[in-house]
Amino acid sequence: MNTKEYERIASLYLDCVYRVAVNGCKSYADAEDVVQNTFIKLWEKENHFKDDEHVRKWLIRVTVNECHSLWRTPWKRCITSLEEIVQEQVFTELEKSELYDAVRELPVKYRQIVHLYYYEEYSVREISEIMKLSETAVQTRLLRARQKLKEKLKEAWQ
Amino acid sequence: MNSEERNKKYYQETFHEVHAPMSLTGKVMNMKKNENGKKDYSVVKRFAMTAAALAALFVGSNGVVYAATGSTWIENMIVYFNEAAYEVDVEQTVDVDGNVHYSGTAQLEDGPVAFFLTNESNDDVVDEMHVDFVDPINAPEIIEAGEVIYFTYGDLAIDITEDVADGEATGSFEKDGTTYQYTVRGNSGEWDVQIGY
Repeated sequence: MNTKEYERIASLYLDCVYRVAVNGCKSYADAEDVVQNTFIKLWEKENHFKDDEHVRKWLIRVTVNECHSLWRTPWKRCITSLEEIVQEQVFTELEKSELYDAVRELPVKYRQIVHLYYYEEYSVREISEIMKLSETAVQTRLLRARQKLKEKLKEAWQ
Repeated sequence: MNSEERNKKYYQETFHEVHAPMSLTGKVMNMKKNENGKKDYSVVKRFAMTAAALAALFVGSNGVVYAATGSTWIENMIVYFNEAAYEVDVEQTVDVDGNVHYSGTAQLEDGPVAFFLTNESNDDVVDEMHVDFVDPINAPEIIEAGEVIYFTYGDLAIDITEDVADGEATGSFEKDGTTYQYTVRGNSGEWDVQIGY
């Protein structure tokens, strides 16, 4: 991929990739590794994308796979990160901060599905293809995630 | 606007405010300047181990293999539990994806423990692995290895990821000549395990 095209795509979708990574990892440091790995793959890829939407979906799939690869590494499984203390996310409204915290408290396997569904607006079928899960598993995890968010956020989450 | 649309709006407005930090932006935008395309390893990882649940292991093979049956074999290895070395017979199985699963039991000073882990690097020699403790050996445990969920009992490990997706996994296994039934209910971090025969 040429430099100009890479810069254009990176500036356009960096935040998108970062948000998916943050929801697919237990720590911000891991999320940053995932983001870098994803853009390395973009840089090394021949540019055969049909359009920007195609690029975006490709980036999201790669990011999800990178998150999963990270967690298959044996020494990642049982490590609790202190990054949460170091890196804070600041919001303009308390309600947003509460939702963010509630989402961060979800198990990683729920968090990523919630993000793909509510933010990226993927269907259950599309999410099942991206995450290589059955549609039933996706629906079950989405249901449980909603229940947990409801418990945490009460009326704010309907 | 119905409730799901409101939730979606709430979620999107929240995460619109989540942005990649400047340091990461710099690394990604400067990716092209690295001739090898390698990422910048200057990101510092700080982490804490949950002492009750973890043991750092250094596993080295002494090169002796005395049993091999198809894709499963047993190898005598030196395994470190909290920096103390133990000679352990480790059962290794290669699955259809080429991942190597290790399991075994070790007689530690406090009693027997079973361990289980997966190495997806496909290296012949394993340099370092982190393993969940299962203690005591006769207690059933649910181990969450990333996306994969295992029911473990002693040195037995059953992948119940798909089975438990709807909230309940059931099955049976044989141990020491007895057939046991197991039921696992719950979800991540909140498991209820029952065994009967």
